[in-house]
Amino acid sequence: MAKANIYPTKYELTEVLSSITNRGFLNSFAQQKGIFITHVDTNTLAQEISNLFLDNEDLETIRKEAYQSKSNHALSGFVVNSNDKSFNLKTNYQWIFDQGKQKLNQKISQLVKIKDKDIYKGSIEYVKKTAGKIEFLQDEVTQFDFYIEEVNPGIWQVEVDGSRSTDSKELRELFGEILTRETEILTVEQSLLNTESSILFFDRLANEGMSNEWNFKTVKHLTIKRGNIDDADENGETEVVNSDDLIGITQAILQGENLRENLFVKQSVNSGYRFNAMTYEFAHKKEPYFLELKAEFKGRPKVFEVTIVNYQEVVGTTLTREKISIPDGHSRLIRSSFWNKSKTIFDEIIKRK
Amino acid sequence: MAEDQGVNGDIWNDQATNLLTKFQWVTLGDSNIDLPNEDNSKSGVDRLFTFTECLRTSFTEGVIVEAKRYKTDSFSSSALQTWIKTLDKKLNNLRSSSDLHEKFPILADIPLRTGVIVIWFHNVHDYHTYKATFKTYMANMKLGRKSQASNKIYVLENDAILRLASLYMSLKELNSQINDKFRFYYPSVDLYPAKRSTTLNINYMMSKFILGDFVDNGGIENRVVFYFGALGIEDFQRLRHALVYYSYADSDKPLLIYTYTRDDEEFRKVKMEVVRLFKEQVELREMELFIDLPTFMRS
Repeated sequence: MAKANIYPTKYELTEVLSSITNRGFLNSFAQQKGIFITHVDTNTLAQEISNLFLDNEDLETIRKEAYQSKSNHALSGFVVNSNDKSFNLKTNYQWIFDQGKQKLNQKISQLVKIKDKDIYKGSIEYVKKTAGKIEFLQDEVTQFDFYIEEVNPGIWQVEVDGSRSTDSKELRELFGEILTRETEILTVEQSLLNTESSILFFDRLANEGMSNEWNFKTVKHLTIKRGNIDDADENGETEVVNSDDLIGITQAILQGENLRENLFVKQSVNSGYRFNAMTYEFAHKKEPYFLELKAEFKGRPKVFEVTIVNYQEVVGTTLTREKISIPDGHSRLIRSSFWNKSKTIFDEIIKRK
Repeated sequence: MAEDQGVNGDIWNDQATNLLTKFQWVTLGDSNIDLPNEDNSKSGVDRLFTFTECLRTSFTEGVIVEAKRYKTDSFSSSALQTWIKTLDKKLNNLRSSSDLHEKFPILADIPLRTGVIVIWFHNVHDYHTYKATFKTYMANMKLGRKSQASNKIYVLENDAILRLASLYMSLKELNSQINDKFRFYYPSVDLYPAKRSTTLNINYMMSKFILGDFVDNGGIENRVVFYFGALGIEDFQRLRHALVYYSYADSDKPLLIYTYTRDDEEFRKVKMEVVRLFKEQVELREMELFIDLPTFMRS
């Protein structure tokens, strides 16, 4: 019997419900059943809901919400490059769809043309097994969208708007069905950067990654990693850089200094660390918005992806910042633009045409 | 006023009371009574009840029930919001009222934190299409949060009311065959022992399945599940797991599953698989479906 159909223990259900950060979901789940618990915190409400005897439909609703609230949308991608100028990824994908060549645990959709653009959107749903203490959450069904566009004859850019680092890999493997000797998949992969070029890459992203409407303000977070970065190596030492060093790094970027000359960076390089992930804060030039965006090499192999961590609006007379939700479409455009600029910088650094 | 006042309102109040008392909820005082608040003002309530909460505890609890009778096109979301706020306020004003405790001494010793709004849309055919709107009203209602005692307020609408009526009719038929031996089963939760009772608590009224059992003439314990969920094989797999989790799956004990949803086309395809899924000696029975109030509530 599929794990997905297990009935959660009361403890599991309470844990999952209280970990759902979207209080609106909890309220609406209880209220549409006719349950209104007044003046309570999230934990107490979760306790109360977990007393109910629920059916499959209820439990699937909770599972889906629990996954969604855990994951941030991350944009990554790759290029399918063919020497054959007539290579058409769209037609090839259609062949996979028509022939049902996807894996057993995958469901793929028909491509849909985005209005007024030569971009096609598709989506994939697949079952991903996850290990965890909460058995109820194992065997996750995850779903992501992707966008394909022919940028030059025979060269197709693929953007993956997913929530897991395995999403991009899932699509690359699907396209493996149609690759010939004349076709290759080009990724923005950490293994192609050496220690120094990884610093240069993240350095340039601060000022060149966002569109002209945004100014770089600070580096909010930086992780560095030691050890060989190859496909199998997940055992490298990872360190989170402390706030004092982040101030120095921010100043070096703002003053246009070579980041490699920064004392902390020099020491890190000498100790064999390379940059792995950086979270930047940007301020909109004309409107009262602040954006925190995380650029990271993630997964196996380590592929570059972009996530929006925080979006804030400056409000009131005291100019306090308030976290606001960013519409999905807008979020994707920002991440897509940043990822495309990153790819250009990456190609320049590794001298890939 | 959109709400049916006077005679129709009183009749619905009595009909709702008829239903709740079938599940061993006990009335306290008359209907439509003014109760003394703690600050000397008064709160009008449609009916006061007590019932024994058997899940985890064995406390008797006090409940304020408000019976509302409406036509779908006279109803608005603001009415529901007002009722919930008002009921929350009534519970807070009444629970520590010494005058109330004097009038009903039992309330001095038991929690009064539960309110039930039993709303009947009497144009029942229109409610079928109106239901989605009403559920959206409920889902989107904003509850303010103050640093005061929490109350539990439940809304029973047409579907929930008819589901309970159907449950009662099935129980009545079953009990007539087994000499009234049926008991609801409250499983062991949070280290509290399991319990059996003829009382149906509010948590079960809002749930998708209800457990129960009886000992037949041969002295064998039979287990009963009233199941209100969908009838696909995955739905039954989940139910099967639930029974295992609540230690209710037992190959030595006959299992009787009452289904409520009707989905003949789909269910016919999976019925044999469902029977195989429950390795016990399983019997499937259907509960009656009502589209309007059954006679036992109307009389």
